[in-house]
Amino acid sequence: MDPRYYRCNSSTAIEEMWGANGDRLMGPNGAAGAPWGRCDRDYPRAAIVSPYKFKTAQEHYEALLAETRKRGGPTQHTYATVPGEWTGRYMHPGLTPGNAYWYRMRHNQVPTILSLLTPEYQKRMVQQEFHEGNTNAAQWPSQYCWPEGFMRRWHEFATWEWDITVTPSLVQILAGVARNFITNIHIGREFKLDGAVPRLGADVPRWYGETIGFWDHDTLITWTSNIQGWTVHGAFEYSNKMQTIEIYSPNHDANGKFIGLNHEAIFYDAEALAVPIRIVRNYVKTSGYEQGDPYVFIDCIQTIFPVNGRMSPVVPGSVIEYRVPDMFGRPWAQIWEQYFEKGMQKPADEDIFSFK
Amino acid sequence: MTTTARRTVAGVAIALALPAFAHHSFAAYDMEKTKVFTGVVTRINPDANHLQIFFAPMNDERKNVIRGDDGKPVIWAVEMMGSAQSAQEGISVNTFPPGTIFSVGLHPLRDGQHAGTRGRGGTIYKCPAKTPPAPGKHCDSVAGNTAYGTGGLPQAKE
Repeated sequence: MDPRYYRCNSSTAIEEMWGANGDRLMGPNGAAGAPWGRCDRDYPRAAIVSPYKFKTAQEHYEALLAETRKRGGPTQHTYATVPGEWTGRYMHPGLTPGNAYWYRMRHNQVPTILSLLTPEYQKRMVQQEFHEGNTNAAQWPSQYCWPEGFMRRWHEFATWEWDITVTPSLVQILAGVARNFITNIHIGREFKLDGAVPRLGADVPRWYGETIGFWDHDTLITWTSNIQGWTVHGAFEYSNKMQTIEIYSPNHDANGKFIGLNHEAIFYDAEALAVPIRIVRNYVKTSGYEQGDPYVFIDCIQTIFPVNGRMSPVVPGSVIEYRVPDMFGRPWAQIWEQYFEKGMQKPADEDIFSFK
Repeated sequence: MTTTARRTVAGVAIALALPAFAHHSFAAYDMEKTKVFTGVVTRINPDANHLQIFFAPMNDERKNVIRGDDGKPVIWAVEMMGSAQSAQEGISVNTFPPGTIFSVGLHPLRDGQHAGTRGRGGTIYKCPAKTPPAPGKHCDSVAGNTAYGTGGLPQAKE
């Protein structure tokens, strides 16, 4: 795949062509006059692909658990021994100095990202890039108060500060801007393995999954599964098979003082990802809970609606034509197909209605 | 003290008996009527309040689905309990993927739109994969079916 097909623009740059973040980059003739990005710049694929040999999250988690057991673990923390200094507020990951993780999608050539995906999910990402760049019909889920979805937690502006609370049996991470990201890490519990994917609760895919974990002294290792597939604008779609292994380790300064966390996440999704991938970020602790504004639980009230296929703020009392979104059928793509893909030829859907 | 404690317990018992019926009124449905369908699943919405199965009812021959004037399948929705409660019964996005043939009784909306609620009982039957019932029959008549719930397939009542 040649990055020149995208004029060497990153996915974020393509989003910004029409002014997604304020300044329009696109020339007066639309996509035909789109500016070029930097063909000599890319985030290396090798730095995105997981460096580990594991093919599944389960395999990875079990190996880490076995390794910890060999050393006499997992550590059974009490309120007296749990690393309480973790509890508190952390800086916005996207604004943390030096936190240039690749998933911000600012320095990635689109074909490099596509090479991480399976053919179906490559097609879906190309569809997104086409509509961001050509038709200027962005369908960012949270603009309509749709769910943010599991992987948005890693995207640049989906979360602001993070609140982390540590107890012996549960570690909770709270964050959010348009929607709440609540990660409850259940320490010492085990997944049921008798269903379509490992899970803790009912056989219902959850927007943010379910998470178990264990301590290896002051390192927290987690496994998240039972995730509802969705999309991240500027990035790519993922499926219900998405699972992660995440490793939280303390960062200390030269004097040994706790300053925050290193967070390594490895993503496994046999349906969407051609290879497991990894994101590593650092979180800088800014305070405990004794100061600052409290976390505000977010109820997203919809003020923006798709009107003729484009996001439009609608004045209360207005009457608009509104197609009820098929929330579990790629609603963003259905808008594109209805308004901007007329006349395009596509493979026929599988016939599920005829029986001989 | 004793009276208060008893009242509290009674209140909890009533709430537990109707876990799925607090989210909306059921007055929109005509609970006196029951329609029985055999259809093909097109989508499940596993929402927390109510799991919904969207389906295309099959024709009497059970060779295809009922279609509108535009040739597209007519789609109905049946509302169930919450997705977690439905999953406890075995009904989930994983057990009812698109293409699943199943039979269900539902109480229709009073306004005639193509939706209804399963209500409080009745068995849902899933046919074996790609195996529709004989003409005019439902999945409870197909060998190898899977039953969800108790009480059997409801009888149609207009």
